[in-house]
Amino acid sequence: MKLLSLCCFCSIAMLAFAVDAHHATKADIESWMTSLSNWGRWGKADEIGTVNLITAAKRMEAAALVKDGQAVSMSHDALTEKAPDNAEPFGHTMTFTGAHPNGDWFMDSYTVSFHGLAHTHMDALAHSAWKGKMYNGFSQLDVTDKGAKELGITGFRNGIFTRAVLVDIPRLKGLPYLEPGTAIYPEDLEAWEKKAGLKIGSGDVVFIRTGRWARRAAKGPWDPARVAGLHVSCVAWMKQRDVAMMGSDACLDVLPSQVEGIVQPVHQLFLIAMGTPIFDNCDLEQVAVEAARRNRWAFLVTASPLTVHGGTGSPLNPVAVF
Amino acid sequence: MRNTLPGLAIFLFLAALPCLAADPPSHHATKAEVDHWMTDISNWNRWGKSDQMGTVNLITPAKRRQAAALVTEGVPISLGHNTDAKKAADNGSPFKLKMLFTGAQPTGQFVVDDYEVTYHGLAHTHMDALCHMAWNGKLYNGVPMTSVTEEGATQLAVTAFKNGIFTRGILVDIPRLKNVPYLEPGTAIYPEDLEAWEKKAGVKIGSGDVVFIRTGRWARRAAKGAWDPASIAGLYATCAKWLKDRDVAMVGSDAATDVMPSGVEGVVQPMHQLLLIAMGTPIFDNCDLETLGDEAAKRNRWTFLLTASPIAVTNGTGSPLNPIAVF
Repeated sequence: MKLLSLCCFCSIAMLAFAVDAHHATKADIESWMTSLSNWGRWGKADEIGTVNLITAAKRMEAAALVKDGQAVSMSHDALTEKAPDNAEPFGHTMTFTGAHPNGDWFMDSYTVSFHGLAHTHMDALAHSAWKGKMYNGFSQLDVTDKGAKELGITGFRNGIFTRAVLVDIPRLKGLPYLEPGTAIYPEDLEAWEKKAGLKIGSGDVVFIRTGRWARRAAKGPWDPARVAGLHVSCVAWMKQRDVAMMGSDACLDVLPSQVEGIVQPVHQLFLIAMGTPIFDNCDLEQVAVEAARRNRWAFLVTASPLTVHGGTGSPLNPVAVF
Repeated sequence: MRNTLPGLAIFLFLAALPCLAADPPSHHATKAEVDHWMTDISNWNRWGKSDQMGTVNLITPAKRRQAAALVTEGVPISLGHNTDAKKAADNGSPFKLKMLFTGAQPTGQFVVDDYEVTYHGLAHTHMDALCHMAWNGKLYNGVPMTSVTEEGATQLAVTAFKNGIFTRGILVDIPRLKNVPYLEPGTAIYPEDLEAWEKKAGVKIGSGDVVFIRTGRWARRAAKGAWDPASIAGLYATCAKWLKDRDVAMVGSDAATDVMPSGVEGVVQPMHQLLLIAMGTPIFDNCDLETLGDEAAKRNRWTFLLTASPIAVTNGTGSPLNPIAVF
């Protein structure tokens, strides 16, 4: 009897979990840190994680996606003004101007704290740790004042060149943009695949459009403690598809995360467990227009970080080519 | 006075004779000639009065499609030299990486850093936008240099190239042509070197291409250490017209493109002046072409897809970046 009731309880509990794919606890995430892990998959010394899935063959397939020869930037212009979502404005200092040239030359200097919610950038795998470890078990203490000893941005010095898929959730929902705090779930990803007529697969870069920049243009910047993004249940879905990288127009995670005790579980699982680097704060407005015009949601993406020795990421300008 | 004129002419002729015998015309240019070329090889108004992109207009959709078809192996190679944080003879403004949060002192789960770079000069791999230089008060297309203010370049800024450079790249490997590991500082590259390379490599540089000139600068730096780049190998001023005839979209090199000293009295960097201002041709400076040289030689294949995209800095005069060659 006891066994039977335990079984009953378990199946009801499982049913409840299946229905409520929208709920995850800190304990779930701890378990996913192991079950979704790619540690050791490409050897103990591996520093590039799922970018290994961008094979030479994949690059050739991606190059064949260039049919129109049209290139579209997925970077937002550098924001130099302080705002609720831009605590560390991009610094642009003119060192020599037309009024005061250096000989015939004009020059400037750039300063950027690129992590955060404002600047288009790439997170290297050294950007985050959990229980003292980064991807593949590297110690977080290897990130010192001199920078990241392992898992730094130069692991990606040869750039990202692969198929990209744009997942346009506002378009799926018939909205100009998602409201802050809106969570995106695996069923949204599947609905989008059906609507767009494609399947996300191995070695792809997936860009999630929330319409963040459209909303910012319409309503002004807001405190990014609330932004639309992926619910943590999307991570296992992406693991099954074996994507190479993720990108979004905000910070990928929905904020608040809806997982008590974990601020950015999506970042944690991708960067640390799966070894999947992330493009944050991309501007996906123009690429969405171009994709919609063609009803074509897959294209070549090229992106290359600055080769900063020891860097934990890089500001950059990913480009879509149709 | 009249009588002296024929005498003066003869004197000038005789004085010029040894110079002519030693130097083909392509090896000698004066400030007056460079001034003349500023008009002669100009692209001002070629793409309209308000054009911001110059020869990058030559990278058409058709050219991009042809370039994509050059990806036959799926092998990418970075042309970015690792950022150099140490002051050196060729690095007056080192790249600054400042760790704001480290593994020992993270912010929550995250480590974070901050970058500062004065990218123009002879150290960092970067792109020059068309607003980087003026001649007689004017930038490319006749834009007044006063348009470059404290706010930055209000015209001809790097954001004109926000959608990136995606075209055929050609490596011109002069040390390989001359069978040396690297050129010595001050070595000038002339149009006949470019033609000899085309013959050796079996390629013809053409419309919309990005031409990368390898001098072996980083190989020499690795072997002998940094040196004062007042003397550095690069293109002689007569190459500008040659490149104009080929209608290239961009020029890049592993140093400053120009040979220095320039060999043209009174003009410090005539190649930069002619490319940026007269032709509207942006430049990639300080690329690392060592691995590319090896990979191209291994295949005996000197053309490839080139992709590069500047950081989208509104009003910026250029950008640090990492161009990628894909075979």
